[in-house]
Amino acid sequence: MGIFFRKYNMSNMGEKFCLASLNVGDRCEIVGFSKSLDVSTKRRLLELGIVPGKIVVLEQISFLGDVLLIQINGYLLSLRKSIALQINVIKK
Amino acid sequence: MKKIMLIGNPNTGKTTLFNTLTKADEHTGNWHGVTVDSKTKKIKIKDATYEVVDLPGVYSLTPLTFEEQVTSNFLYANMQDLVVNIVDVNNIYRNLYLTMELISLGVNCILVVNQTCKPKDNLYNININKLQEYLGIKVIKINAQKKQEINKLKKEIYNYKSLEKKGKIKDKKINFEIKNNIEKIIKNNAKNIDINIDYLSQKCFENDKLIINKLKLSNEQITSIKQLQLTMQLESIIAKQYDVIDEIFDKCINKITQTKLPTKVYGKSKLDKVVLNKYLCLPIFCLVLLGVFYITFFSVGAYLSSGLLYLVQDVFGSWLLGGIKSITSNVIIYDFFASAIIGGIGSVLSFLPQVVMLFLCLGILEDSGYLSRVAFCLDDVFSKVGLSGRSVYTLLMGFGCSTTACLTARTLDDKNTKIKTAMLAPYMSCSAKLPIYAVIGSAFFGASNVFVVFALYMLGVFVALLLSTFYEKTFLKSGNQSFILEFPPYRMISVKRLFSLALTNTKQFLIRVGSLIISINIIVWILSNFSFTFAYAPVQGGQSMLQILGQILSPIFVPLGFGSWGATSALIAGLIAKEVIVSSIAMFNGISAGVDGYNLKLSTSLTLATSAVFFAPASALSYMVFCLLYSPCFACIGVLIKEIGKKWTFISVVLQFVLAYIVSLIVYVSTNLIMNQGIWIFLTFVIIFSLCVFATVFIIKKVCSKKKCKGCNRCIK
Repeated sequence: MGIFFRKYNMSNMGEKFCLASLNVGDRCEIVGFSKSLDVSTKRRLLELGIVPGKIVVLEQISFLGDVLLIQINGYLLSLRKSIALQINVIKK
Repeated sequence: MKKIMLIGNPNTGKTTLFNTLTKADEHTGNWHGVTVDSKTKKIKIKDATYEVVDLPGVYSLTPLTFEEQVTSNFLYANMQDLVVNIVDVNNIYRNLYLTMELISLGVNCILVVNQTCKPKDNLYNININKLQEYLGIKVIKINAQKKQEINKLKKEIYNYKSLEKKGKIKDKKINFEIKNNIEKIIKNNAKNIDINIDYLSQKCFENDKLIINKLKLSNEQITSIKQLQLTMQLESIIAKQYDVIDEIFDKCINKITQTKLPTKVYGKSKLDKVVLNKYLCLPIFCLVLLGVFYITFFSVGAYLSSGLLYLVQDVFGSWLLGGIKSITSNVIIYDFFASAIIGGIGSVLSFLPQVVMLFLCLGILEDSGYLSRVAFCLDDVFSKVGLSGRSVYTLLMGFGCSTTACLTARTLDDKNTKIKTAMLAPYMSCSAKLPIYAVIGSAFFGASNVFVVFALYMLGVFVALLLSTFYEKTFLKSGNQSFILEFPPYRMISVKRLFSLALTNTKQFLIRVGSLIISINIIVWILSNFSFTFAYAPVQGGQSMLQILGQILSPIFVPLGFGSWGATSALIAGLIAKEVIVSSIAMFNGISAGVDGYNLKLSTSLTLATSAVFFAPASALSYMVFCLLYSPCFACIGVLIKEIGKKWTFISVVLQFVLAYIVSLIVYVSTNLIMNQGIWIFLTFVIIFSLCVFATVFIIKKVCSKKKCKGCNRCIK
């Protein structure tokens, strides 16, 4: 179902989005996390290099749209949409 | 004795280096989380002996899952020993985060840059000398797989003087004031621990449960730390750490950029466009599985197996028996060799090629890096039934051996998902069950056994997924899962690796047959040939011990169509190891090597009502289904107890038995219906039955929903 809600208008540069709302191929900069993200998951994401200021590219969305594949710091990482919803980005 | 701990991010080649250093054959693979427990082996460098310890891969020293805890605990317990930190040359940016943690912990550390691909595919150009200077620790470049520069590493380990070179990176992390405050809070607790207080306060700030437990902080202390945590954001601290890594990159590492191509990314491949395609990913996975299945059971594997069977039974077996006959005329000794050794062991041994082929295929899948892609594709579906995409690894390993598969469930971060995954692994038909289908199936279904065996495997998967949905809906609801999974690059498997995989698996299989299977076979032979008064039953008459025991229990299985004492006893023996089922059947039916071919003899004996174990097609099918689903072997139960606790293991084992009984019953009854009454009557039955089920579910739902909406008037109107 997720794929139908993915068409967001990305023309407003500098506006905050969540990582889950990007289209495949979009390049964005990470700005922060939503407050509701639990600490241990947040720490793990940070340790993996998803830190504010880094560039992230959405590479692929899975069949039903529940999993995203992103490129960050020169490697590939997949995560669930529920997590991606809590990562804030701005379009570059 | 000094320990050498191999620590690094997942999938950087720790176990490969461990194998190279110690000449061990520990399991490796191109997937993160292959190693889930510490492994130790001694090596000698010149005149000194060291203990090399292979530890599970970690992203940082703050553990999230059980196997990460193993690493952190081991490191904290052995702070004075040497750490060999391994980083992958192509993923060094992220890998350095752990290196920074190790340096701030202040352990003795050598940094090893592992060359995981051909030098021309390198993404980075690392200036070793500069990096060494910058980090303040020894840096060595090696290739663990190709065994390059290993001697240099050994020399460095030998020459390493304790704390001669301590890392230089000073933490730029938490704010000085906050750190001082935390230090004040934990100062007294930290005295008993052999870790520097800077590191401890840092980890307390990061809310590292392991360290907090280690410090034995009181509730008051924890609340005051929690308040300090609010004053600064975690992200800005770790971002600072990454700033340091950026600085290292600027100074010591150059990214190699090709002029024509866009910058390469670790793990990214053009193949992913096809493999991860929305519509193609699942069909491709099914094709791959079918391919593995076909190679193992019907082409190469089966062909080699029948050849080996001929060799073991008809050539070697008759030669050995002929020899024994000429030496002694003692019936008991002759029968021991004919039944227990040649009949029993031979029947298992002949499946060596198929089992090795299966493990080889699984090994190729693991090494190729394809499994992460499968996990990505299947996570959508698996999350609906309450599993994680990462469960795929455990479930696929289940086709090889349930025992090792259950161990790999550790890497899952959510506790309930971990329990579910471990409990479902035994439903994947393991390689030890393969002879059962081959022997019994081919006796009754001949060439069409292909479809029967495939259907059995699918039945296992289907039951597992159904059960998982049931668990998810009832008492094992999975928590919020992150499914954080890195994508390793695709790797070609080398011919050398293929050979070593085949060799290792052959060795393991032979050891298992030679030790466990042979001893059980001898026990089963004694029990099935001697009566309780130790009279040799076939000659002196009377019933053997196993016959009496089997007869007591066999009525349970009469409804399933296999109420003979032999079939029942074989199932009991199968609890120790599933391979024994076939060897016991061969023994009970008195099959030995001979001129007319072992295979044919065994097949015909299964159809004769005079044998100890005999089936009709319907009961053969239900027997195979029962073998597929019933309680796992003792080794697997032992691992389950360790991994998921006694309560869940008990539930799982009992449930497996009950499920096996129910499904076998359904199979037996419906096969009989089809054979006796024709397919149409059967279909009518199925339709009537499913209508009844739907009606009951509907009525139950109606009744329950009425109870729930007491306050609403809509129903009354």
